[in-house]
Amino acid sequence: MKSLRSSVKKISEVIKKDVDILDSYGNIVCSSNASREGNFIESAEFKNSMLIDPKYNFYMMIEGGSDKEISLASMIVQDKIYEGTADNYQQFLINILKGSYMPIGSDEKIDGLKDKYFIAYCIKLLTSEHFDNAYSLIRNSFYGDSKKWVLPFEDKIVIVKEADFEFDEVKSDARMIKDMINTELYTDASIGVGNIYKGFMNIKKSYDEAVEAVRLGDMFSLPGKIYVINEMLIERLVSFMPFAKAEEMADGILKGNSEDIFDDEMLRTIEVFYKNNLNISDSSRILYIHRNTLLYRLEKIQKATGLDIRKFQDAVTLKISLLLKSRRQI
Amino acid sequence: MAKVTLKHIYKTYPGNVTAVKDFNLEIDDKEFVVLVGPSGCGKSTTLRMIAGLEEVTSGELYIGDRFVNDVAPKDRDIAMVFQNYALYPHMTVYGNMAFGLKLRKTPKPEIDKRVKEAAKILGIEHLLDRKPKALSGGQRQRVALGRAIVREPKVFLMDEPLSNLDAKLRVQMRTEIAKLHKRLETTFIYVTHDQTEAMTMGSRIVVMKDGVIKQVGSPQYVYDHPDNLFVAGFIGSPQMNFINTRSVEKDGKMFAQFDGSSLPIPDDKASIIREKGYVGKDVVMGIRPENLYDGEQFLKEHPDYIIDAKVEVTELMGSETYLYLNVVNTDMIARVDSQSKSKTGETIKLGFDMPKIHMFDKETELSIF
Ligand SMILES: Nc1ncnc2c1ncn2[C@@H]1O[C@H](COP(=O)(O)OP(=O)(O)OP(=O)(O)O)[C@@H](O)[C@H]1O
Ligand SMILES: [Mg+2]
Repeated sequence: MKSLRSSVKKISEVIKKDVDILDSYGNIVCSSNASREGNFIESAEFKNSMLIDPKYNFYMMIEGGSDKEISLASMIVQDKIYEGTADNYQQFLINILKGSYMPIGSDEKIDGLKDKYFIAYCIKLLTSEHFDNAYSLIRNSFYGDSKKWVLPFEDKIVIVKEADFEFDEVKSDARMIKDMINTELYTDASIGVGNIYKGFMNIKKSYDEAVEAVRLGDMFSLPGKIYVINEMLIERLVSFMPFAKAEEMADGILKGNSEDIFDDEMLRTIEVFYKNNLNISDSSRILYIHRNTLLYRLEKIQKATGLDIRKFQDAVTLKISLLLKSRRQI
Repeated sequence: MAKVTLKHIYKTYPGNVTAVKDFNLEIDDKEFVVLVGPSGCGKSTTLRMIAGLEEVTSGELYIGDRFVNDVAPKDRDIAMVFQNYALYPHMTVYGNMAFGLKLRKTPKPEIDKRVKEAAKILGIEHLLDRKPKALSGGQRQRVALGRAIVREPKVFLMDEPLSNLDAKLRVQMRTEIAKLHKRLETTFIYVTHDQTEAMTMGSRIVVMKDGVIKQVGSPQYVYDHPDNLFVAGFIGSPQMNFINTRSVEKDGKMFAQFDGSSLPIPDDKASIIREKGYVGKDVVMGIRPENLYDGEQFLKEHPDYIIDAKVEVTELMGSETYLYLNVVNTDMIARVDSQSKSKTGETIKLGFDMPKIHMFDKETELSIF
């Protein structure tokens, strides 16, 4: 970006005219006159411009410049443009996340992006002191991956990914980032993942969900610190309940038994039982307990609450009741 | 180089899940300790507390002689290797190993020295100029280890570093990590849920369940002398067979009696049963699959160690055969010679190598012998 700016400046000094670099939406992303950066140029004024980067659709514009000046200058600038592309995309995405992006210029230019699907992750570090290093680490990990963009946004690092509906891959990316932050930077992070949406204007929606996922993860003390909003519908619903009402409802179902019966071992049992689709054999194998021990624990729940969580309906009721109880005020 | 000491360590997560309870362990300098146990037993939590990634709720943690409960992870002289890692695609192997040090602003000559040393130890010196995409799976894994080695830590912490690898590479890397430990002469703490991995790698294994240590010892000792039913069942594959029996004394001889059958208990074990007051009591008898026989020679030599068993399935496993059996209404597995003549559906004579049996208290699940 720096070198791009300095070459733009040099050209401007020679021809005594302002030289601007625009993205395809008309944003001035770099200019010989710094005060012009961030302004929009109406598509009608694109006439003094030349496409200098067909891959990312960057234009160079010299207001009142002759064709010869423009074509000469574009040759000089073209070499430098690639160093600037990442930064340009960043600004574009940041504007989208802020909700301040206004599509201008002809619709044709953004049509390609309109039909694509996107997903956003948000990475919230335990402490801000490692922010720059974490940002650098993540960017380097995804270097050359043309379907992922990494950007700093407020106190978070955001990854926007062109989605292909592979939630497994989304999760493994998140696990990788978390383990890398742990092992390379010696600190921890929570990672939220939003839903997949069509069209780049919805990246904000996905991002907002990713942020919400992290908030919910903390609120319900969910293990693992990787939170996928797609898997958190019940938590989302419960989070809207007033606290007093939630307690009241949970107590009604748990019948004041929550302390005695739902100890660590029992909660762990329930967690595994749910994760294994209410399957007794699989759950007892994973918990490394005898099948009868598991049945005994399930009976204990039934005696205390009347809920037989081998039945789907009762399993859902208990799940929600426990969530109502476990929510923390944060 | 440092020992690591955990004294009465507890971890309660917000939301009140107690993941680790009263964990006490002294890990010697240069030791290779493996934490093993089923999913959710608190292995990662324990390791992450040692790393400083999780706060210790109560108890004392020492690395060397230093009390480190409140010391930041980066100041603990540790390095971590976890399951999920990425190599930076546009950087060379050298760059990948140097990156973490660069972030920590280590001087260049020092980085150079450490990267070259680590590469030598790992046998990847000739790959330093390569980009990750030109590496094999095993070489990549070594680069990932290299990143930890260049930090020159006093303690290595590894959490299931091999579980993303295919079976063959996993076996190969186990040996490599064990060798690495010998070369580096540094303390290794390694987490796995895989008991085979634990048995083949550690000089000592710590078996955990529900946040509690169930037994600590050398792999061989824990295998031969499990302290309780859980450890007996968890360590060893296929797992130990268990039968509910009653110890009965007849004419000065002790027998394990069950469902109309009985097997004589050798004298040395019988006297333990007497001493500990288990005569006439219900106990759980355990016998490992390799201590069951269907061969003629054993059956001839030990005519009184035999019970009828129904063969439900046979499975040829290379040099041996697994027999899945029903023995007086209990499912059992026997690991017998591949020359075994036993066939599915047959009722066979099954020999119990009685001097090798274990007994456990039915209530406390603790080992009697
Ligand atoms: N951040 C967290 N918040 C709340 N509970 C947690 C958190 N992390 C882990 N737990 C819970 O603590 C218990 C122990 O988890 P831990 O990850 O230490 O187990 P593990 O032995 O490493 O299991 P695995 O073999 O599955 O990795 C589990 O019940 C888990 O759900
Ligand atoms: Mg774990």
